[in-house]
Amino acid sequence: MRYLVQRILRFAVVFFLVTFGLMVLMRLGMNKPGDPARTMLGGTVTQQQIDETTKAYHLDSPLIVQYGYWLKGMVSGDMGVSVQQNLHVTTYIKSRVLTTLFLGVYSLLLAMVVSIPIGVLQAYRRDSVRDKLFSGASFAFVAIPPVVMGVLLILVFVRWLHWFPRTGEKIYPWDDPKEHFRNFALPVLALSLPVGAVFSRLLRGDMVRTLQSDFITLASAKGVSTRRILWRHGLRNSVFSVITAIGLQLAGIVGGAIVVEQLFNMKGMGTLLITAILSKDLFVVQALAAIIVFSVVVVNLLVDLSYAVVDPRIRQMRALS
Amino acid sequence: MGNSRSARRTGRVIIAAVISLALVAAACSKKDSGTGATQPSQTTTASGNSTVDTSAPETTAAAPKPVPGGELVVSGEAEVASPWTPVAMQCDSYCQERARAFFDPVAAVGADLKVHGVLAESITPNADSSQFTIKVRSGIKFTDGTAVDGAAVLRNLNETGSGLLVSKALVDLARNADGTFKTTTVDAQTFTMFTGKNGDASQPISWPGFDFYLTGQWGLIASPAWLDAVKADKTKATTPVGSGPFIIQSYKPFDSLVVTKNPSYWQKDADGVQLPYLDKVTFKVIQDSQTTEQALQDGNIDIFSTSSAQVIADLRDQKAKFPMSEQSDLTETNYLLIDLAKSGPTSDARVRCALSMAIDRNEFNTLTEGGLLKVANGLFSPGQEGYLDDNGFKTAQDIPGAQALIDAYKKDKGVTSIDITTSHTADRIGDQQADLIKGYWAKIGVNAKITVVPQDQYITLALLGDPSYSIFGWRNHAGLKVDQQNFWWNSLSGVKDGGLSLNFGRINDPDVDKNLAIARSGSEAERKTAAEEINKIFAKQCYQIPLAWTLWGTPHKPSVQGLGTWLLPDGTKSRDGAGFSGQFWLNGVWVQH
Repeated sequence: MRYLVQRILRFAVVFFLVTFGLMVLMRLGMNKPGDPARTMLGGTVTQQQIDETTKAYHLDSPLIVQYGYWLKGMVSGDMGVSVQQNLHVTTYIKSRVLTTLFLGVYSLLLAMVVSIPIGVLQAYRRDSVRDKLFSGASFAFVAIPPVVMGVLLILVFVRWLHWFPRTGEKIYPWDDPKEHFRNFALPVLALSLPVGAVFSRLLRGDMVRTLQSDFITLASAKGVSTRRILWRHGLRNSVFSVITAIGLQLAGIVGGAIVVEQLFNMKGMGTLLITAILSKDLFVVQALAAIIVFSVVVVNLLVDLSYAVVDPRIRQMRALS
Repeated sequence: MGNSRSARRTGRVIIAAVISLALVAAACSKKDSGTGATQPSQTTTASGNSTVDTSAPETTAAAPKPVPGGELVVSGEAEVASPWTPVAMQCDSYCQERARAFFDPVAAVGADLKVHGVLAESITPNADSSQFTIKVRSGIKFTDGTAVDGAAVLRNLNETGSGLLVSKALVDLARNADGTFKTTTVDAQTFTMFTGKNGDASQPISWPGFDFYLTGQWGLIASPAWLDAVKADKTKATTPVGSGPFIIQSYKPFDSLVVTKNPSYWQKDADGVQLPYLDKVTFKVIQDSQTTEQALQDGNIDIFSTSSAQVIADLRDQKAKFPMSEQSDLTETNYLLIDLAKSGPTSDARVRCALSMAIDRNEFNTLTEGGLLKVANGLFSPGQEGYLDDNGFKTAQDIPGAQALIDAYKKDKGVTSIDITTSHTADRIGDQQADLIKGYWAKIGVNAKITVVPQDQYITLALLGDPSYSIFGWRNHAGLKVDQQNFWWNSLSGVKDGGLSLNFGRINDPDVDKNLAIARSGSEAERKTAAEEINKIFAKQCYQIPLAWTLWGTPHKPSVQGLGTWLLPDGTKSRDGAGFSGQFWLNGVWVQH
């Protein structure tokens, strides 16, 4: 319990630092009265519009006070209004969340599903031709950023083979599973290949060490099957770095999603974030940043908690402390 | 530098918007034409020069009859800012296209490049064109059931006319003390508007081209009930209510706008078939034109408009698969916008002209736009009032001539070097163009420093005459009449640096002002002469450095029919692209099932 409280406090600090810091950064250079409102509205607006917006959103108050108003709104579910689009930020973001969520979840799942068997296999057949091939490939995928991967995939599967569409339509799986697959396949591949490569590299390294442990030798001597040794004893003792990487890679996936969504013209939170930053739509940027920070911190918290699930020793240690 | 694409895009959103907004009506270009009412995939060549459907089959087969029903997916590259009240929205041609789906305009430009009433049954000037009586058609309703009458139209004209941009364009309409326009009501459907120099009702002026303004953003008419609702809750602005051919179903910024047929639309076609033909239109925003091209090839969209030379070139090779109409007249000019209020070398005409003469426009065009664009000799594109094949401007590269001007300047001013800063927004073509121009200027001993300006600040910096704004890559000035450019070039809107100036170049030339005044109030012949005179003054003074005129293409699936065939209520064929290059009316579009 104490551990959980500590983590939540840490989360609050990170949340404040990121969201308030962002607010400060977004207002840099807006020194004259009315500047924030003028920026939010665009350049060609009347003084009356500037005054109304300034008043409505307390833009003439000190930043910390503005932050307080914003935070109060967030807590009550009101993320403010996109002044440029005349939309509640909640409504604006709601239409984008699912796309990014699908993209992130699919990418993470695909990365895990592909990388774990490969990592285990590589460790089991260490230094074999297959191991070297997979190692070479994973090094390549780690080195290729999602944007380059995306361009390559477009070139091959869209331009040459015409298997997939160039633009990612927002088609939900419950509407048309086939089209959903066609639209998400390439963006998910572009995002998951580098992540999966990292997972498989980490797993291979840990697994190699685990397979050299005494308890594995003992299990083998006792006649435990290879499959059981690999998947039950070996994997369970080697999976910590992958679990840790999931938390760390999530931020990478979010960052990659911004690029990949742009590349495939997917209407997700990534493209919205870029649009909002470029147009200085302050409340939208802050809300998106808050959502991203919240997601990353929560996933990392879950990752921390999952250590105890995987390893009884950690569970016991935390209970004692 | 040059005209960075993204800059241009932003430009379009405000500028064009502006442009538009403001005004105008104007006209423009593009496809359509032709012959009678409905035609297969439209071709055309409207009145002016250009606008050619590069795809249309050369047959004389009878045009198929429009078939009601079906859906259309349209794509465009920019999103409107501050949607959808006519007073607030800052929109480019794609925004106008969408807005005209649910708002009817007071008037529109016909294929004859003249103004024809849409909601207005008539627009009647008095003898000296200083008063205009507008009669609104009877029996039309907004989709919320309220009546489109004189009061509703006037309410809209007053509200939209109070916007920053539109008010600048309408500076010579007489106003009351409270800022509303001076009008008199004739009856429930009819009212009269008055001109007045700088808004002064006691100084009426002749303004024959006033009616063009009713074809632009100022003339879009929304339901007053909806406008009231928006005043109470700004978020209602995203569900606009007009009397147009379609009704909005959903709007997701930077994603999609879905409209469905207005079953009670007031207009029918020549055969008595209820308009619009389409049941549903989905507008998508795809910001990258090559992605849009791919989307068309993938079948994800049905039609789009683009000014990307590369995309137009690609699709010219696929005429049979994707018919495309092109608009090369009445379009924008790509140019280097110079802040003439800045002290320094560019305040001297010799330096400006030398910078212009040093540019190899053909090479520039070939390397950055695939050689598709036409080299510009000024800010008046072909077809526009004031355009001249020979305005005295030298478009050919002349390094010795330019060098002589630079040497003369250096000698006069006692300087040994000339340093200039030129800016563009971040994009590949902008970088390429900036490097090329820097190289040209280096040949005459001018040191150019290139800076990249964040896209979101580009317009504002020019608007406010920021110290960092000296020379910007720019694109503007589509339209038909020079009067539509009035506030871009009039010294009255050329506030000095630090103030808000729609005359971005801060042109302050009494001869330009004089001719702009004639272009507003003179006879047709006088207006034409004045426009040509402005063109010549610009050429002589090198106020701005023109590079090329824009080319627009509208590729579509072969199943898309009826582009440019919409007949205005008086039977005149409408003109796509009027005031907004690349825009097309959806009222007469249908799809072959």
